[in-house]
Amino acid sequence: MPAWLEYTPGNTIMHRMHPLPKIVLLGTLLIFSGLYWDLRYMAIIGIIGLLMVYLAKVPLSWFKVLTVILVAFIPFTLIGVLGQTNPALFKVYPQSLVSITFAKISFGPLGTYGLTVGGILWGLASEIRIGIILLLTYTFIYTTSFNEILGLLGNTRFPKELLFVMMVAYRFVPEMIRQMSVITTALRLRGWELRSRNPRVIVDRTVPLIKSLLGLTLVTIDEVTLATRIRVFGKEKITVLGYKKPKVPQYAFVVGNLVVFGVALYFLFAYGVGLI
Amino acid sequence: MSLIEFRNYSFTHLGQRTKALKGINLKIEEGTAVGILGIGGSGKSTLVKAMGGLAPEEVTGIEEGEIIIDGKNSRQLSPFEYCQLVSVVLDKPATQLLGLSVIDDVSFGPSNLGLDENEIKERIDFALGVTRLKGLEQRNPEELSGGQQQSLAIADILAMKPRVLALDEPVSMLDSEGKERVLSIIRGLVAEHKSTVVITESGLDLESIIGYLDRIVVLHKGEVVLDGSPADVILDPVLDEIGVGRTQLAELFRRTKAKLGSARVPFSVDEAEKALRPLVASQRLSPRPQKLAQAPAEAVVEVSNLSHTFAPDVRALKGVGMKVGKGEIVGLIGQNGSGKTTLCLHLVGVLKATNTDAKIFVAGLDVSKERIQSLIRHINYVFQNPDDQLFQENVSSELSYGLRLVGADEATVTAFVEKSIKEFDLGSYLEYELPALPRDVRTILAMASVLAFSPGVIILDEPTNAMDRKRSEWFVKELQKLNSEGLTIFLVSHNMEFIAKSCTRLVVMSDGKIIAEGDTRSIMSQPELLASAKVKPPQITELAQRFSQLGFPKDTLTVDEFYNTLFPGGGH
Repeated sequence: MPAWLEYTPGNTIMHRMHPLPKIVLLGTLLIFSGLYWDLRYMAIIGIIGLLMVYLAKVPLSWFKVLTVILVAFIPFTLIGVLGQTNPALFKVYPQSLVSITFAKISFGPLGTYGLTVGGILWGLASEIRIGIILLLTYTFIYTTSFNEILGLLGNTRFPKELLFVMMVAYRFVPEMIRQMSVITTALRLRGWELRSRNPRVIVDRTVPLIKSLLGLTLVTIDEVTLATRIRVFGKEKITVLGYKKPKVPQYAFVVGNLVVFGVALYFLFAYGVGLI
Repeated sequence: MSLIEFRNYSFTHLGQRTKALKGINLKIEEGTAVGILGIGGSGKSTLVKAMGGLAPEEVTGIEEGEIIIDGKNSRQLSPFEYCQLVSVVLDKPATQLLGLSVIDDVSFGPSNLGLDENEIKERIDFALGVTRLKGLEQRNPEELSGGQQQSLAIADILAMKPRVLALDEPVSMLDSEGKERVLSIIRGLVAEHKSTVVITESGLDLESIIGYLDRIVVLHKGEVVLDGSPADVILDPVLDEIGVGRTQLAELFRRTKAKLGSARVPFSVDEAEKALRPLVASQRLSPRPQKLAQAPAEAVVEVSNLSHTFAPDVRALKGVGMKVGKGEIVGLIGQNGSGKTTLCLHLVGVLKATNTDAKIFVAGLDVSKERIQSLIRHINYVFQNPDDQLFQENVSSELSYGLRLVGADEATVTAFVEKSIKEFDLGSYLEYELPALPRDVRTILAMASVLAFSPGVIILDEPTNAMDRKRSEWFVKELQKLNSEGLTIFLVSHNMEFIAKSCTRLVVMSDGKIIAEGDTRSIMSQPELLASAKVKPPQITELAQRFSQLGFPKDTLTVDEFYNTLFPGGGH
């Protein structure tokens, strides 16, 4: 079973997509998910993201993690929601809509906080953004092997040091998850459990996990360094098995994508399309 | 000119006061297979890493002296030049696995050499074929068994086709078929391609590798103490003094040498049979009747119809059922990937069955309904890799850790720590930081630590990895002592000599199923059964079976038994 954020070989349309157009497509969507606030446009990107994870056949278990992350961010989002009480902050949404107020309290010099439709729309956009980022990340990591990235970037001027960092990153998260599973198993076999009513005990018991995680970070870097050294990574020319250089259709897709990206950016900055 | 030459080479690991290697002068000729023997901590791994150019940058420390590779000082070689000359497989193969699939991992090295695609494909094909990994190309290396990971690490460097392959304990985790396969190809590489191979070994797998070696160098405390042909080195008493020991066949030869004339020390069962047949045929044999172990009345572990399928469709266990009696030492044997570790993880409640009608009971408790924290007072598990379950800085804090977690009082903790240090002979390691301990000591520490809860059953998964013979013999006695005090022990191991000495009963697994269980002697005396599980009996047992038609008992398990059958009066 692939660990969370771990590549798995496959034959889906997303797996077969060349890494160059894939990176450009996902990259542009990621940028827009960061720039847009309008729910309508975010919904479109979200639907594209959902379509891609569906096509990629990303494991359903990854959505449990997505849900947990979305829920974990709610308290932080809520702080922003409660602060959006001034309808003048919204330049694109109709004022009559964003100013609908359900509750409001003034804290004097600290400002006014409350629940408004504008705040809710802002909050929803925040949460959807997190979801979109995860969906696009899932699609990319699940369907793109490091060898494909190596094939794409290895023979360009892209710094080998950065490729090395990417290799560590590709390995680190799934390694961390697997190893945390082994570590918690080993700890449980020694009588450890995280459950306790005493917060101090919980903190104490988290310490071995954190120590192991820090140790794992260093060990992963060491291991990847050793393994790449043994396999002579860093030489000028790299031949990646099965990697095919992009052809005209892929370049055309990239160009088309960038044109759409450029146009959308223009409308974003010139006319506020996508903003609120 | 030697291909590799160490000239007065010393190495001190960072933070250590003692030199790991002291003034090594060693020449290795091209086209030879050299074994580096030594107990844990003798400097074998450091030598291999230095040879592979990993010291002092990746393996930090202070070097003195020189290493000359193909006529050039190693410090003048670029990493690319170095890797074409020497490639290393370390003793923890998982540390070298980079790819997210087997084929990505094997292709990574040749890809970095800038070879054309056809050449890369050929090398991958060769490497995967040799190491029996064909069919697993798309598997994630993290999901392979320990032995398969070791095979993959070897495949990775085979695909690089270096002039020197330096392998640190390369067969310790492989089953017998895997060992033979890898070693015979290594022999082919030496004989046909003039490759040079350096293999390190602590002693327990010596019988597997000795027939493939042209030369043996013995290290002890960082120095070369013996260097010569395998036939000369294997009989040298120094091997006993330093704890490496000798193979069963060599030990038998040593005892019967006077009666064998000018025969050469045998390295294989075939050679031993040829040398001993005239002697065996001329002797009046006196096999002692062996008492088979009685199955205990009370079962402490009961498993029925256990299946486990790992997503998406890897069937690791297929309807397994077995019982372990109270007070037994049971060995679980089978080839790599047969499901041994998966079965063990079910017994301690870490894994749950994927079929609803599986039943697992330990000390009368339904494992599926119990939390691990309550099960550990009845059964516990020592991982294949002891580092996965060591969390503290030193021996004392590690021993006390589990009891402190459950809130035991200080007196109980102190008493347990003192008892464990004495019982497991850990007194000389109290000042060490855990990562600096030899691996076999870390295994013993992990075992001592899980005994804190006085479980009635303990599972040990490949405990003799990287153990030398002396330590292994001590370990067998220790297990027997714990067993006599009431501990039921479940042992998973590829080391059949260790299994034969330790276990009263065996369970044989193959392809996710239990294909046989029974008394150790009766299982060992069925070579066809063992062959179907891709397991071989100890060499002495195999030799005795070759003489079964002359009256030799097929269940001879030790050199003493063989010798006493041959010479009932002691051979005088």
